[in-house]
Amino acid sequence: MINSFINAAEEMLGAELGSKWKVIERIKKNPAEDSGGWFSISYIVESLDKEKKRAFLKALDYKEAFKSPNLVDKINQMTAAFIFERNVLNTCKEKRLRRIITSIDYGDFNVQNSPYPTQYLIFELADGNIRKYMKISKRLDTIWILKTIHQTAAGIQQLHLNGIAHQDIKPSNILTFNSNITKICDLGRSSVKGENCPTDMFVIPGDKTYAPPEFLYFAIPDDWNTKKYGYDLYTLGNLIVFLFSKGNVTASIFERLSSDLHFNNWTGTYDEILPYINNAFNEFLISFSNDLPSDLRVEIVELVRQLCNPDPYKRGYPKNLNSKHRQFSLEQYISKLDIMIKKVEYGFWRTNR
Amino acid sequence: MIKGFKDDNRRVLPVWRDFKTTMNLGELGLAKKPNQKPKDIGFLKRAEFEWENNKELPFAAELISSAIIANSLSSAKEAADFVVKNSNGLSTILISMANRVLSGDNISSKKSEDCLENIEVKEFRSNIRRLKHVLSENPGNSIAWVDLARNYTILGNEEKACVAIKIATQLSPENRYVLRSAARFYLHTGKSPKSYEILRKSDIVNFDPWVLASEISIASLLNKTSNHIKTAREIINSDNFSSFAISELTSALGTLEFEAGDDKSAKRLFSNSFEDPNDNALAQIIWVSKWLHHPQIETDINKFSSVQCAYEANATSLYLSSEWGKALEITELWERDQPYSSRPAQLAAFIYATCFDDYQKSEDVLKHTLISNPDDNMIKNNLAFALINQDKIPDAEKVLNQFKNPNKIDEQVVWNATNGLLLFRKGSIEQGRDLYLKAISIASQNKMEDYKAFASLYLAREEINASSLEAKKALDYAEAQARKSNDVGILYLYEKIKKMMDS
Repeated sequence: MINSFINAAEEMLGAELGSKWKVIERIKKNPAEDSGGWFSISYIVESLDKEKKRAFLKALDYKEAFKSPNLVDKINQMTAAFIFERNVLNTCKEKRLRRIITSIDYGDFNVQNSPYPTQYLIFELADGNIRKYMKISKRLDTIWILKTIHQTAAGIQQLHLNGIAHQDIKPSNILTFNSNITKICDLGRSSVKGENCPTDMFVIPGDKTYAPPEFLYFAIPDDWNTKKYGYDLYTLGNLIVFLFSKGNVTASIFERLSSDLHFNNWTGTYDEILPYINNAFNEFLISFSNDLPSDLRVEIVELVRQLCNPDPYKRGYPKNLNSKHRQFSLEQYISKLDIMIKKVEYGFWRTNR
Repeated sequence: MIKGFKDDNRRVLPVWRDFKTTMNLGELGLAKKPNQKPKDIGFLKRAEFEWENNKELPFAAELISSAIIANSLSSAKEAADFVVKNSNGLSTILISMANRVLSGDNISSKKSEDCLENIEVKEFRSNIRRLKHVLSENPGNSIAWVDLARNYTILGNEEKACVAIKIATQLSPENRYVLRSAARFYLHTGKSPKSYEILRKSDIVNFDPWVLASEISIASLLNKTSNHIKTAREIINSDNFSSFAISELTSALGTLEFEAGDDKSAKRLFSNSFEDPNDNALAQIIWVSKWLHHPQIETDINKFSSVQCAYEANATSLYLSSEWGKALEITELWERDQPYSSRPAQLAAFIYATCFDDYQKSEDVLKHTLISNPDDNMIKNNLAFALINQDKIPDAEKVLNQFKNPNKIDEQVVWNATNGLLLFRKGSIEQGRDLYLKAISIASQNKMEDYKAFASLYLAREEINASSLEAKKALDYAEAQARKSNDVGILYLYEKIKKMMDS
């Protein structure tokens, strides 16, 4: 059945979308990747005006729905997820959240003999995600790393201030523009405070590789802020570790635990295992500190210690821990990162003047 | 006299190892039989795909992380190999993760000897410095506090160890490792009631077989009956726990049944312990079967070669088969495994002194364990014994003067006997004999047959050395006492002294 129909999403190459865009290139995609409940096919599009501006298109791939035994439910679910992401992106656009990828356009597309049209979203085109820059050099420029972290933290804070939790901060979701502007993409897994969200049904909404340990042990915090914003803080800390060392906090914790304490085998509660995780986390921080530039060592370790605290109720800026509304605020971190950038820039200027 | 090795009252007390070793031995996890949880490895598949299409470091790093998190190390071998081959300039944590993937290292599969500590004082001081640094960064790390307390305990700094253990128990009052370590610390420092209370008052004792085994054993040591015996039986019969997880509990309960005279129940419980014992449960089985000669609990230590850190059980078995040299080798491992404990040192000191006449080595071993056990009168006695036998009389007198209040009966016996030896060596034969006879009399009144035999044998040895007219009579008496004993140490000593007389 799947092969007997034409899938509109797969037939977009060369097509003109309205009078604005032409689809010029299909992008190879990871088959295991979905975008928070909906599968997509990606293209590069070009504007039909004189500007010939290039952009990124993501089309809803209904073919995946046909693999499901509950076809109608699956189509409904995918459509709802698509609409949810589109609406979140619209909110970000309306609120002018400049550290979040901008959705330029959206619409439907169909071809003859296709039983169903596809919906698509068009985004500003990035140079790539941050891993592209990380491929170039083993030791990255510290200023670039700090700016990337700073802009990502600012993006997360912008989302949080608007009641949105991203839930999948990871290197592939941090896009770069002109090598020094960073924006967060893929809001398909996000949650909006007070709304039912497509990924609410998942225990771990984002990529497990960057998820906080309490989620891996199914110890999901009860209150929304701790559950959602706490998740984002941990993934931001994990991103910092990746940028400085290509390491990973969660993996480093499990590297230090025997397999009977692994979440697949553990049968106790998270509170019971937390002292062991905490100990492994501390050991990791000591190793990690040796991988950092000496002039930033203390600040970065402290940043990661607070953002990635394995106890979600102790996660965040220490002075905010007793505040229900400010525990997960990134304001202080953004200021600190700003100071760190200036410190490194000043040091660089002194060395090279 | 030097006290023999026989332990009349062994209990399944918690063994206090550092966190890493305890974890690697599998004593912190798998309380219950593992669930077959569905494993979502979509994230690993994504990372594999990206690596396949981008053979670059960031993608290798992500795949390695995903494989470790998925507990599926083989998925990232190629990526790990790539990282190691390009390791120049890379971070230590990435290289460490890559090496973990390449070694396929399930931590718990490490050989137990790899985990043994270097028992030099400077090593423990270095550990303390490291742990203080860790705690200065995160004072909320209860595991590091326990490890710090352990290092202080090994170095004999009870006060600092006590502070560290108190903080650990306040931070994690319901954690198995913290509670068992604290219980062992309080036992080590002579605060047995506190040791019992800390376990009894916890919530975890109601459902954790490891904590429960310790609680029952310490209660029994204090001549109390645990309130949790019923829970223990329910846990054992529940079939919810792995044999390994309940091995200490079954042997603790088996010991109680055995002492209560219910051989049938004891045998059944010890049979459960046989299935997959840890080192402590195995040592208890050996104690019941070999030392107490339980007719129905016969066991062959060779069947348990897979039990990790089974140093006590092996050393005991070798001692009981009079394989002194091999027993010494294992005892050294046992001491490295439990450096705070005086028991391995006591055994080593006894074998060196009694079987090899190597009093210098005996002295060295005892001086080392005295660091961790500064108030242990029995170690001081044995040390004085080793010193006297090397004619280091002033040193021995100094040690004996530090022998504090020999109130316990066994301490009174050895104190009199060793002072008797001292007087013999100083030429005061009659006074020395009187003290030996006093030791024999106290032992006799208190039905301490092995102590009586040892005191009699050492008196005979001194009479022979002094070419006294009492020598023959003393040897005959010692022979009569030795024949009553089944302790191989006593029988060996008797044969040795008899040869002295014959020659």
